[in-house]
Amino acid sequence: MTDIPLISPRRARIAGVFDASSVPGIALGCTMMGFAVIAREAGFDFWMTFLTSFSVWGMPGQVAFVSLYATGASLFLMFVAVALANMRMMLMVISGADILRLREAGLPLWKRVLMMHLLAITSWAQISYRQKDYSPANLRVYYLSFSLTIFAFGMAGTTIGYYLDDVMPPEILRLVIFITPIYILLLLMNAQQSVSRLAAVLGGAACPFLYAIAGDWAILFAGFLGGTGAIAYYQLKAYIEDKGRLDG
Amino acid sequence: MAEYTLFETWLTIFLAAFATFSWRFSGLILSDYIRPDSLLMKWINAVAYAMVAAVLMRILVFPTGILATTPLDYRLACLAFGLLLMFLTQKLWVAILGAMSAFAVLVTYF
Repeated sequence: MTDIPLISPRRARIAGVFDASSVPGIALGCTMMGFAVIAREAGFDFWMTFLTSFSVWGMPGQVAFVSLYATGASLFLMFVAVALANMRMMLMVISGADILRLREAGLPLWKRVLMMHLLAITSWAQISYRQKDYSPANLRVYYLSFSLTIFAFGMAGTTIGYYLDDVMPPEILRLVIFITPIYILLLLMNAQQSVSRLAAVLGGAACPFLYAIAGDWAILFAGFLGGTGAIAYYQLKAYIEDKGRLDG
Repeated sequence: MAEYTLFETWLTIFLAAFATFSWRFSGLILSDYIRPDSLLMKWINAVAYAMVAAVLMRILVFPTGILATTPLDYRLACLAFGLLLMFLTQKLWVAILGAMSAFAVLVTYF
């Protein structure tokens, strides 16, 4: 633990705002603009759009939700689709709470619930990428300021997208929306542990093929296959190396 | 256009929020019971990585909305270019900038 530089919580807070205010914030803000455009086309008024972003705060689920709403799907189907699209939240929260050492922080439950409400793909990938640079206490400060900034960008994007969807020409908007998948995929490939990188490669590569067969279930299948495959590979490798040492 | 009453629309928004909240909340409760360095935690972390990568590949390969107006070949080529730059330079910002510039040029001029 000696390689973690000692910095003040204040600097961690500023670093969080600063890191969020560049590529992640702009990418997320533009993705939310894209969501607001779809939501308006589906017939949502402004407050419906705004509160969906605010209370769901998970892009794939939101898009699944308004897309189905536009097609006139049943309430039950919409509920199932959102639940399915956002199931990864549970795993991300377990992993994120572990990265942040949330249990050691001694925070009341409602504060932890609010903190985890802010967890989205961007902030989870960010703390996973940054965890070696901060002590757990500073990482929590960093996470909170990073995710609140991202949240502000996202809500601003929702508002701008709803009212001014013609302020940005579609030729530009489609470029900017491309930033989110590229940014997060490259961030995942920068993970500290090789098992995480392998899991991302396997899950990402399997998804398009599984999608052709299983539709949106492909995300769950690809996740379980990729994650289990990566863990199995490294467990097996460690076992063989151990055995080699014992035999040799 | 689908016909929902105002009440139904607000109900679906509540249900969407509730569905997402339930996953987050159960994750928070479960995280108290899983030991940090256990194999189970490593597995959950690996599945989370694979699942997030899968979500983004789904968006990249089968986009909805305006991204769908760009050709699939360009999107995949730019991802490959970004990955290549990252392995060569080991710098995240170079990779993102390179991939985005390549995408902008391809989509605008070809």
